[in-house]
Amino acid sequence: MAVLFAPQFRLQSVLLAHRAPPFDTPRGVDVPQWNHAVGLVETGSVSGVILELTPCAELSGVKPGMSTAQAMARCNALQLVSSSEPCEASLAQKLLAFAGTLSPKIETQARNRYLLDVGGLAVHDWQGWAEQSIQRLDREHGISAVLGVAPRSGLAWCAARRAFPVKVIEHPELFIESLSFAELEIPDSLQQQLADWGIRTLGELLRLPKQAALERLGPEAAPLWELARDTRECVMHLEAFPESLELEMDLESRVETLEPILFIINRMLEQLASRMRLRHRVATDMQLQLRLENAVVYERHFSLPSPSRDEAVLRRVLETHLETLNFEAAIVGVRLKLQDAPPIHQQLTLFERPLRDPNRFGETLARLHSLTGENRVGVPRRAASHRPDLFNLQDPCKVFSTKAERDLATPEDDTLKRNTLRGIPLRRFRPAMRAQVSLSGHRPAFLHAATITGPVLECAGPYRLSGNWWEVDAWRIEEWDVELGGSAPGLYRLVCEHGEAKTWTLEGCYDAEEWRGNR
Amino acid sequence: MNAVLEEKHPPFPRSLSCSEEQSAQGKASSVLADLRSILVARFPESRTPSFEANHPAKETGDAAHSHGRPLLPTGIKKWDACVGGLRLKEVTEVFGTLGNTGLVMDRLLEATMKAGWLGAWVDAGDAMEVEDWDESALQRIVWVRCTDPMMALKATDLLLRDGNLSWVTLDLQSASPAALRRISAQYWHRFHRLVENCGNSLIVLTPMPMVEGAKVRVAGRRRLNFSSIHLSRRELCDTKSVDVFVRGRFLKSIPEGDDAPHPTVGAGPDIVRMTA
Repeated sequence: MAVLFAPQFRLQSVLLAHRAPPFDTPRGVDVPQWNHAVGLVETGSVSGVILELTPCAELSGVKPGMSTAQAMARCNALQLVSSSEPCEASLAQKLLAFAGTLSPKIETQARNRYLLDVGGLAVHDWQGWAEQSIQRLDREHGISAVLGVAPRSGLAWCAARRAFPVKVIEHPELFIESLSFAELEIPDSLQQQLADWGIRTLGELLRLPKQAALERLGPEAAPLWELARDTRECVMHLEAFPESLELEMDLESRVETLEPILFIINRMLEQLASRMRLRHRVATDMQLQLRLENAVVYERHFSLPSPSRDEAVLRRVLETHLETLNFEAAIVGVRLKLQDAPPIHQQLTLFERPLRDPNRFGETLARLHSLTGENRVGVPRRAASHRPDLFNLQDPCKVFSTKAERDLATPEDDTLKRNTLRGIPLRRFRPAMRAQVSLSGHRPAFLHAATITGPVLECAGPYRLSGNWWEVDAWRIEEWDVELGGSAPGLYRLVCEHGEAKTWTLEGCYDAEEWRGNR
Repeated sequence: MNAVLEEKHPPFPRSLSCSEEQSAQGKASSVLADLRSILVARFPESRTPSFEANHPAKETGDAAHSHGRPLLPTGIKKWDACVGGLRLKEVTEVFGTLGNTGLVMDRLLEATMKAGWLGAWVDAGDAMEVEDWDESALQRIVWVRCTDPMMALKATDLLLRDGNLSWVTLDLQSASPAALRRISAQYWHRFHRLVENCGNSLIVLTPMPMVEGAKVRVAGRRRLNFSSIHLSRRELCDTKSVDVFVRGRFLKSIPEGDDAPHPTVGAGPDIVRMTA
């Protein structure tokens, strides 16, 4: 069992709130910090009694229980802060969320004290595990806490009180032997009686006959024997974590820049990721909703190429998209919802792997989309139409990660398709170039376009195409392959579209020394 | 350290901590890599070019000039004879007229499709005609439609850094000479470092030689005429002529023809003119 305990809890909650953005600190105001002399008083208290102190204040001679006047007399630089219920609730929530990343079985014994069942963890070095956990709590949340690990819950609490910042009890008998009654939560009268008997430690008490000692000390002393000897399994009142993977936050102040939003989303992802870890689930989709000041709601759905519960991966996907956004109004609310699923277990082929890192590839595609614009990146596929230059762009993540038709096609099929390809690959002018064409005997003889002018030396055609004849947007075109001379010699494709009037366009180039298309 | 769970809350499944998950994944990856190496050593015939892309092989036979870099035979006989094929971790420049470079790309697309490689085509002028390429080959590429060469260079940088794709083609054929002259040498130096670090291949299609430091340059020299438009692609690819330049070395000239022996490294400055 382990006990996670945050000393100076109320004072820490207020100091953390001062540090965390988007707290706006006016200029010139000295923000109270843990390494300053700071004392906590009750909010609305008339007498102003010091409740908790930073170590710096204690070194100056200030003690809890002193009045503010006494405290200021001992330490001129003492800063006083008021307790705050919302700050304490927020810190308790963070501690609980962090405890959830250590063990799924948690009992909240107090706002600043959590009992964890760590028996199921396959940890070989409890000291290292405890130290890393406390360092992570400090690094990620700025919370100072201690962790005690022991075979039984009662001993774990005693270990936490002695922890600096961690204490692992591997030999309970030796630890119990040295436990003093001041460290145990026993009534003062009992403590005084034991002191009168000359008994200072729990080990000395346990050497007395239990029955005789209990008769003299009373039932208040029974817990001391239970602490030392009781091997019964303790019953925990487990904390119930919410099932849904959805978090919503109304911002206290309007946000116009990206950094505060990313900070809030980061915090949300940490909580949601820890919930997924507890349930051994991964996220397959994300839904982000931003509420703006002008009552507009921006919503965006993200489909992950590879399901993951890694906060860094989820954060990068959201960050890449948020960098491209530009709103007219400030943001006043954020909502993040994850769709979860069991993790995928699949054996990849030994010699071929479609994508090494699908999530990274998804990010790269998102960056390409923001660079080139929408509908300009994808796997090209011909549209089901005879109309030229019609195609669809498919999502590469989906195409590359599924076993597509390409893998099922036999080599003979591919050879057959290749044998039907004819000619030099065309390079299209997008958009097509308008041209004026002079005809000679219904065949193009001279062409004049924006950047290409010259006589038609040879031509082949017309190759007639038409479609949608049963609809309003019916189309009919004639394609010509021409060889031009003049200033831009080369092989080109010329198209005549039959509509209300005949329009000639240069569609593309097969071969030329120099590109003459749109630049 | 056991606890009896209270009935009112259902038990949570046991989950591994983050460090345990990472170490388990790392162990699994290393075991899989060892298994692959053992299987490759025992069954060398099962190695495919796609495997070669992920696991660089030693030099063999025709790949004597590969210097240990993975290779993909392109199907252009003399290119493969000269340097073994398309080389990973290198920048290859293909220059010439629009038609010639397009036909070279057609062979490369076929080769990469058969090898199972995934790639990207960064189109600086948004000029690719989807109908004129093999559909199966197109299913293995990401087409990036850019509007100018600078955008295309940035897109190429992103794709090379990504590392998921085996090859990237930067098509600068549809860029004006003025725009091409504005491309500074630092881009090419950066791409050289990227392909070396990321292990992929960059093919640059240009109207004239301009890629500084390109290890291999392939030049399409034959002027295509009007009748070429109506030949089959297979016929067309067999009759075009290609020159291959390898940086730092020249190859002895050899007579044209399919029966010509493979070229050997010589001291002369002659350039091999090969007919594929």
